[in-house]
Amino acid sequence: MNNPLIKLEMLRRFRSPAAAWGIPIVMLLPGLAVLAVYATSTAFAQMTAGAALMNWGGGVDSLQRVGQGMFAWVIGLLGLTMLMLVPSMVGTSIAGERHAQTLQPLQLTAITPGQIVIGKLVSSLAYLLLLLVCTTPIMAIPFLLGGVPVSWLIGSLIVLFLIMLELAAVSLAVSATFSSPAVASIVSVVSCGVLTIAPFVGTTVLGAVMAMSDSDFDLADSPIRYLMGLSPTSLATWVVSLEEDAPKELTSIGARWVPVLCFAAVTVGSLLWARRKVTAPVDKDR
Amino acid sequence: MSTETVATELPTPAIAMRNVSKLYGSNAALRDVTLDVADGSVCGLIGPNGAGKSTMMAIIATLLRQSTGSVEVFGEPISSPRSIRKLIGYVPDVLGTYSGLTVEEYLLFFADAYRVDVEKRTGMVEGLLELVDLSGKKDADLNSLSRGMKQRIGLARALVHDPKLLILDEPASGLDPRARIELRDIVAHLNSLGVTILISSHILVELEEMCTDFLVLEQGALVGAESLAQTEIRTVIVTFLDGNPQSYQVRSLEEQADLVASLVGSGRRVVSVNAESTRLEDRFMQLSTGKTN
Repeated sequence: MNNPLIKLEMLRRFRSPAAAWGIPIVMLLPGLAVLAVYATSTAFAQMTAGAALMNWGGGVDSLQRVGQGMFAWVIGLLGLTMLMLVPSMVGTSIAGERHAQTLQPLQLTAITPGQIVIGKLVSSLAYLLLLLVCTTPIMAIPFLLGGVPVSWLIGSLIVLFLIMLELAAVSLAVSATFSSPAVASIVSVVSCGVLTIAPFVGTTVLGAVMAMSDSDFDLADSPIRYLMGLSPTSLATWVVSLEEDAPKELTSIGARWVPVLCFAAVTVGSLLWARRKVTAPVDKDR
Repeated sequence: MSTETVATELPTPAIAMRNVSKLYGSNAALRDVTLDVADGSVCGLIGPNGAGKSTMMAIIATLLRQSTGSVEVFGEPISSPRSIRKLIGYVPDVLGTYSGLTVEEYLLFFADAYRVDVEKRTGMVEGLLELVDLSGKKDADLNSLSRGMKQRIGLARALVHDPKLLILDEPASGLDPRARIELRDIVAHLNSLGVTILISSHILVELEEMCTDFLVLEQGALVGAESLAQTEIRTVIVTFLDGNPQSYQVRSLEEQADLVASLVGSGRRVVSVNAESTRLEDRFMQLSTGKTN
């Protein structure tokens, strides 16, 4: 379906001088992680094995462990960067239109409210995807060191993209709700942060409370653990659960599908909310 | 012998509002407004700040939902906004523009957004830029334009889908004298093409030059709806040879000539005839009490 807003948004986003700044921002933390892991591994190897074991502590296994550790840090910090970047960027998209008084003329065209939301989402994701591609050289370093299967790399990138999609949908919903871009941006960052971290905190606290009242309580067997599925990062269980020696608690149907259901519910719900908020006529002009 | 009754249908008004109110909590932005705007007219919407002009325009443009009452545009209820929007071009009081776009890209985007045929778009954009006298700015960055130029671009944007009704909310605000004259000429040209125009402004002298009808809003209520021809009542002061000046009211120069002829014909000895028009400003002052919300 023809959506002229996607073309317009891409044109504006990629022409913006700010677009280029996304590349160093997104490469900063993962790049530092590679340097830090390299430096600590080298120092550790020198300390423990001496000059004879200078080649990363003496063997392929050690080198692979460094690669795996480096990969985990790179993906983790890339996720953290996206957690900050996605809501701050997408959070202003519709609120910015409303603030600049460009939303009303748009609402009067043949572009539907759904197309407005999808246009904003697709153009934002296209830019974020480009930033992900820009991190390929950094991703390649742990991959080349070894110990990182291709399935991890591809799986992690897919999960990272899905996390970005969910955070972008939540940010769009927030952006469509507020008229001030600054407020929308701050609320988006807070909302995405809470959505990502709160399920783990909540599960831990609930687990601790239950353990205090029941000495036989085991969080791994309790349905409380599914609360973690609310966090988009729990989609990463898919990458780990595909391994042959994956822990049982990660390979259960619940562990795999609860995060997917939560992801779908939050994403679709957020997009529908955003669509409702950009539908005219409205009861109160903002 | 059979007889046929031929029903004479009244022309469908461009805008028909019936008992429309808009409430924000306990505050009424519009109070029980009932009006018709004739198809093919240029209707001025006058009122102090906060009178409800922008609210009324936003309701007609299908951007804002009325609390009570009904609105029809060319006979279609605005409750089905998608079909109404094809008929309406709306220029808000503040024109927001996108950064990083040229004038041509901006207009082509809206042509695409209004689903204008691909083959027609380029020629149509050129025609609109010519109409608003900005052909030379086709490749200029939108944000580099002056307020007056942006206002004209806003007008061109509102015309990309060839609307039958144009709603202009304070289009002359911030324009320099030359741009105002050009705006007046554009409005006259569009009206000559059959476009009905609803225009709000604080500058009554300009409205008087552009409009055929006017509506006066005050505190959300319609206090006057008249044709400008009705307001063209001329006060004629006739001085007689015996020294007693008398005033008469006429609606046209023909009536004035008839008056003088009848006075002379009746044997009165006329020394001088001075005529003064009752302008829109005077009529507005008569209708308005100056109260604001």
